[in-house]
Amino acid sequence: MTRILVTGADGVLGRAVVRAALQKGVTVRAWTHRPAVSKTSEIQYIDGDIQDVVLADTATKNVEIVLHLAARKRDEPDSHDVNVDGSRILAEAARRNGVSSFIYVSTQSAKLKEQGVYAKTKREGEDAVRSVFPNVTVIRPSLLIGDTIDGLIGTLMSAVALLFTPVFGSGQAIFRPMHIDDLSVALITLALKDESKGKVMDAGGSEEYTFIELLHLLRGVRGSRGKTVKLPVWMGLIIAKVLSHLPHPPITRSNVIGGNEVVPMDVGEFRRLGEVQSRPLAEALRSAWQKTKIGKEPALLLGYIGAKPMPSLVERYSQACRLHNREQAIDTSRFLLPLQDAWTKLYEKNGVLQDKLLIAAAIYEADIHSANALLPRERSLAIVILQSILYGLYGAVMIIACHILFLFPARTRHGV
Amino acid sequence: MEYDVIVIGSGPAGAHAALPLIEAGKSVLMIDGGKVGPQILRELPPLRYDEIRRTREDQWKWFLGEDLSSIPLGGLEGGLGGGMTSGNRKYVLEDADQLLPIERHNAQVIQSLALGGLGAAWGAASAFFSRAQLDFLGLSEIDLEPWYSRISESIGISGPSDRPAVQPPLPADHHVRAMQKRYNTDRAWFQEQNLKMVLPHSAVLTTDKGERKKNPLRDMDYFSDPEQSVYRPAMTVEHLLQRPNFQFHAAVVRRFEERAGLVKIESETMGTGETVTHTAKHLILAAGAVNTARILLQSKGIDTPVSFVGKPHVFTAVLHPALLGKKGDDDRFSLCQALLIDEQGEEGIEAGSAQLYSYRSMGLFRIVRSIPLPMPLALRTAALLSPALMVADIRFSALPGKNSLRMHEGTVSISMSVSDEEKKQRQKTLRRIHQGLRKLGAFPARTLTLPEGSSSHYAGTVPIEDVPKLPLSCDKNGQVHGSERIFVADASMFVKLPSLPHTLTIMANARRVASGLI
Repeated sequence: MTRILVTGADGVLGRAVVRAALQKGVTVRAWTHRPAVSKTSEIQYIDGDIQDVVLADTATKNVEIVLHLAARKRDEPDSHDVNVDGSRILAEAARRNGVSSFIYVSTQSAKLKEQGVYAKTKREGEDAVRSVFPNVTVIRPSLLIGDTIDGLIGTLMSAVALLFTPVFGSGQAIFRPMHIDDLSVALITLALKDESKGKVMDAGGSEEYTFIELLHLLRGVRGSRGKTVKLPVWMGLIIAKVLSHLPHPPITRSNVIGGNEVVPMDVGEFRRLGEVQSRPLAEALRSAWQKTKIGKEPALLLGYIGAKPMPSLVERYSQACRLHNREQAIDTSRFLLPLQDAWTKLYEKNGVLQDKLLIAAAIYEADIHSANALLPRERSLAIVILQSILYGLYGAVMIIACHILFLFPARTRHGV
Repeated sequence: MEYDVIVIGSGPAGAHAALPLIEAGKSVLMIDGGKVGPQILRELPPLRYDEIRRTREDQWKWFLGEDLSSIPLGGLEGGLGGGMTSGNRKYVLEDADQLLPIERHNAQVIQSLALGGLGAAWGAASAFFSRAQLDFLGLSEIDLEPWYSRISESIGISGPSDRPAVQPPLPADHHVRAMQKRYNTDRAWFQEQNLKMVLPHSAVLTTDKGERKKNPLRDMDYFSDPEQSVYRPAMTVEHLLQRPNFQFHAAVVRRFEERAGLVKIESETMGTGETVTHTAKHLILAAGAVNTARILLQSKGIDTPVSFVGKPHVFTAVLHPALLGKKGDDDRFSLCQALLIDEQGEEGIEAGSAQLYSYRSMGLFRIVRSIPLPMPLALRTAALLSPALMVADIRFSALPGKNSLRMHEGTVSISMSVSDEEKKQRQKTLRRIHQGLRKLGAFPARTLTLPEGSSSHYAGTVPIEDVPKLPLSCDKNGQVHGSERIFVADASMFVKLPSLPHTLTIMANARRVASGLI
């Protein structure tokens, strides 16, 4: 008999939870949204939508514990369907099939008065599950940190790179950030205890930060010298509204509201039952940030040069960086890179960024996909001249732009 | 075991010193580092450069090196060895500085432990020297003509048929054809200016020769040895290895001792470091100007400086606007296409000469650094301009000047410096060659001044002297003054270097010196 069903097993937290379970010798059934890419024989896999009644029934058969992680995290049109209805369907199936405990992983923001879509649907999800499965254990984690930086922390990390980081409202909201692996181990530990049943617990790390303190911490990790500026909440709401038309908005209504309201947190019970040993936060953030930069760099630089960052090219790029001792990650972004390139081309010709760009250019050129663009071919002289002028002009614009931007001393300009 | 002759070095001089001795039935031991190039240099799909670019997923192995070590992060010249060790030719310099300690003062001198020496990265440009040029080298009154013929027959030289025993020239590409047209129109001007444009002789086959095939014109010569069409001294050594009277010991020679009518040579075996002593009736030093001097100075306990000649050169990027937007010939080769010679030099020889190369297959990534635009634009601008781009490797005739080489506590120390007068002379030659290029319709865009010694052509450490005055010198037959049984057969004996390629002359002269021992 399988002991634990983990839903949302292909998410960042889900993968960590499955890992933690296997490490404790607990058998796992993993419900993934998309079919898992690499499967192992230790795990039973199920894939499909969480609202699927038939799948829910299959998934909860012969299972002792359900650890429900699957959710829509961004404010999306089907957030309610997934976070509320999906949870209810799963809970009903769990009860029907005689599951003994049901752990619902919610969010710290479920306690807010002013709730965004995510917080609201997660909160309703708690109730929906409880109405069917009264003995449900609800865990409300604070901010999570993974091996790499993404999600909310990723957005904040980009925000602190700016000259001015806007904070909407007081910025006094309290966070207890926690590493995903620490939470995962705790979740498995407390899931196996009868004592956990029916409890609602705040989950978080040992260190407490206000939103503004958190930004300060991230700034330290990133090595940027920007400042925090307080702006009224309504302004944030307008910005979120405008950005909500983007496919992946960098901030949502929920973020704006969540960063503002002060809700006390009590993580004592969770830390006792989960037997939590948190790692130091700054260190975890630093290593995650390094990893993120290194992880994203090949695709970013290759893409900038003009290459499709296919795995083979990324691998070759990383190998060349290792061989030539250029492993240090570049602090850059898609928008900053052309400016940093123009700047370093003039002032740091033999710096790390130019070296890495040269590596990317060489890797790109020595590949079949660049042949059409780079091999000599018949062109009319007029086109050659016109194209050269265009390249020159675009280059000039970049050079002027980087001077305007980087003459402000606030940003590290060499991209390291 | 006592050999008739021990030859130190397997490069152009060593290989061709050993060859006549073996043919005459002498027992010969060759001692050299003997590093062999990676297999990939000889494994190449039978495709042209553009076809490889379009179809081969694994093309990077040739262009960037199997280990990706040939991405030129150290600037255009890529540090020591620079462009000539591109692709998979890095092995040519491997371990040399560790096993042959060297101190450089303003001297980017390179040394090699490769089988075939620096010839393993040779561009194959060859020249038959005139009387005046041979006199300049110090080979006055020596008729090298028969030796040139023998070398030419043995290794295969192609080029203009004004010399005996050469194969038809490689086909001039679109760049050179366009320049030739203008040269013929303006011939009077060039004559007046004492400038001359000629097609080069090259150690490249244009007709099959045994196992070696004619150049397939795939424009991959820079990154591989296609069909073994370009001559490498290692080929001669491999041929010698099949002869019973030839032995090879992969080692680094430390010193020799002349005693009781014999020479004892102490060497350190590669890999194990084990010291082995060999004995021979005669010793031929052909380890290159640097290491021949090292061995002699070490053995004779000389710690005074000796002279040193390094052929100076610069690279000029040349834009040939007539070729902008033109795809160019499909079938071509990547080696020297033509020579532009400034004949107005001293002692009746040329002052300098430009070897012209068409850029196409050398890789845009090599030049993007010098285009002052952000990288993606630099790459595309380079692509746009590359059909019209040529590189002129401009070399100057060289005198010993103020350079010196000395041995100090087991380390060779080379110091190079240029007098203001010489600098001026080079500037003048450079201007004249640039002027000639412009007249040919090609515009010098940017000149890269390269460190002294970076051309990898060295000489003059054991110069020919009729009456010995220097601490180290030899007679016209290569016999080291003050030694009975020690000969030099490499460029060490050349007093000065003309600007034109002298590797062919090294081979012809080595053959001459060694034949004196038969």
